[in-house]
Amino acid sequence: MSSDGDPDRAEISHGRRIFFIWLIVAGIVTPLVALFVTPYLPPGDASVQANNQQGINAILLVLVVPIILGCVVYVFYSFVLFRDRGDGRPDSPVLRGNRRVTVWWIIGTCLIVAFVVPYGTWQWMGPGVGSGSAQGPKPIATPPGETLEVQVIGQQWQFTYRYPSFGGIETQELVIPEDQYVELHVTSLDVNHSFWAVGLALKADAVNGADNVVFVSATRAGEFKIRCAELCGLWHGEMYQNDARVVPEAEFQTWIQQQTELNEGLLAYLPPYAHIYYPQPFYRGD
Amino acid sequence: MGIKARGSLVLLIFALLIGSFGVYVAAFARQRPPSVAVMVGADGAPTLVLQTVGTLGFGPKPDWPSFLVQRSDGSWEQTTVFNLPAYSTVRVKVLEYDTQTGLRNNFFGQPQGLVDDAITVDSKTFTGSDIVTTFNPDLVAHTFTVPGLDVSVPFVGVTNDAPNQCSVAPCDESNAHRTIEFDIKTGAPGTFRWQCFVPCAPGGFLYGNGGPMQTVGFMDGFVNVV
Repeated sequence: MSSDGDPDRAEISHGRRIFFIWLIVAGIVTPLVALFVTPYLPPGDASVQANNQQGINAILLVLVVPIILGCVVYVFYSFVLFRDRGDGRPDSPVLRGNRRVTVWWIIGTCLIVAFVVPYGTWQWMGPGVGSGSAQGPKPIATPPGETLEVQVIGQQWQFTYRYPSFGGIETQELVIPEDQYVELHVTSLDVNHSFWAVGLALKADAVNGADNVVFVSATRAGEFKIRCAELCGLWHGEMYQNDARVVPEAEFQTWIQQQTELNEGLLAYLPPYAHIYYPQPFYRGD
Repeated sequence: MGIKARGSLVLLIFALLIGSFGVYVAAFARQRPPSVAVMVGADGAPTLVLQTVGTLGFGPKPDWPSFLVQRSDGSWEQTTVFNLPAYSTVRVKVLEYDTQTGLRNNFFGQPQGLVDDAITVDSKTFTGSDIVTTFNPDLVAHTFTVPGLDVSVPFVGVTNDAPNQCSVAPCDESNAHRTIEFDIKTGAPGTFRWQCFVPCAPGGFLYGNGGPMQTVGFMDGFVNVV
């Protein structure tokens, strides 16, 4: 309520005051957040996809900071000016309807969505090449040039990997070359799993009988973590690998050569490389 | 009885029920098969002796396959929790009494992480690439896979028509069986989970592990490196 006895004038005055305070605070805080917080947003920059997600997160954060600050300024302003001072003044009357606020709220929301939707779609289709999300068996966001195909096989309770370009060998650890687009085909031999390469910002459901494609281009050599992100039974929590690796091309060739030698005898027993596998009937329980 | 007394009684009963439930959950969560320490072999080397059976033959799940461990007094304990010494080479001897089931993923038909890449099956020793060319994944009965130690060993089972098969554990060596021996190396102390990668439970479980395949004490367990 107004202290000068003119509620309408006071309301306009408070609104303007809140607006100018918000403008100053948002004008200072938002650039600071953009400069000093966004570089540290998850999931980092270990891959093109991680970098892409980080950029999108940064845009969303920069958009949301002024909105949050608006709420905070409004609440604090109210706390300070309209708090109960114990002088027995009654509460303000309930206000219903304010066409101007409603219209601006709708316009503001529509503008944000009208920017975010095409921006996100462009990022997903273009620079992000799927932004680390799985695209099913026929991906529509694909990278230019050649890719290295690697299959991720989920099973209770370990991921294994096949490299069709190298005879379909199978390995216990995931190793990929840096600065090269890798086309991961994710599937499962049993129940549902979810392949989550945390640092590379990839996540793809591993479903029996389904081929789920996700693209990644790692930007620097190093280790990254893999987790199963779908509750899949007793050892779900143990279905991880902490030392999956991104290596330079030459090191990758050396490693794949070692794995090929290790697979020499095993290859005869591995099924021909395919994007999905169904377990054959076994002796027990036939 | 006054309203306060009735209220107190209801609260007391409620507290007792909640407390009992909490005690039950805590007791259930703490339940774990006993852990068995490795034996000391004739030459002083730590030796883990296991047997795998197709049907346990006793207890609440007599038709489940299971692992058993031999204690130093020669008796067998149905458990899957073993204590191995740290920074040691441990000899493992497996008496495999179960029949061939076949792997869901043939990749686990390849022994991995063994000392000198060597494994002995029924007194025949295989090394290096011999191993991977020898074990047909369709003939595997169980695996002993410890991802944290990079160890995975398939156990070839006895044939389905082998005479004198064992149906009640512990089995003795007069029953049809295969003897599998290998060495593994342990590192720093820690607890490592292990599992069998064969869909070996009765009823198939082709599309997921069930029953003994996700029950500690049967086909999953812990290796305590101490």
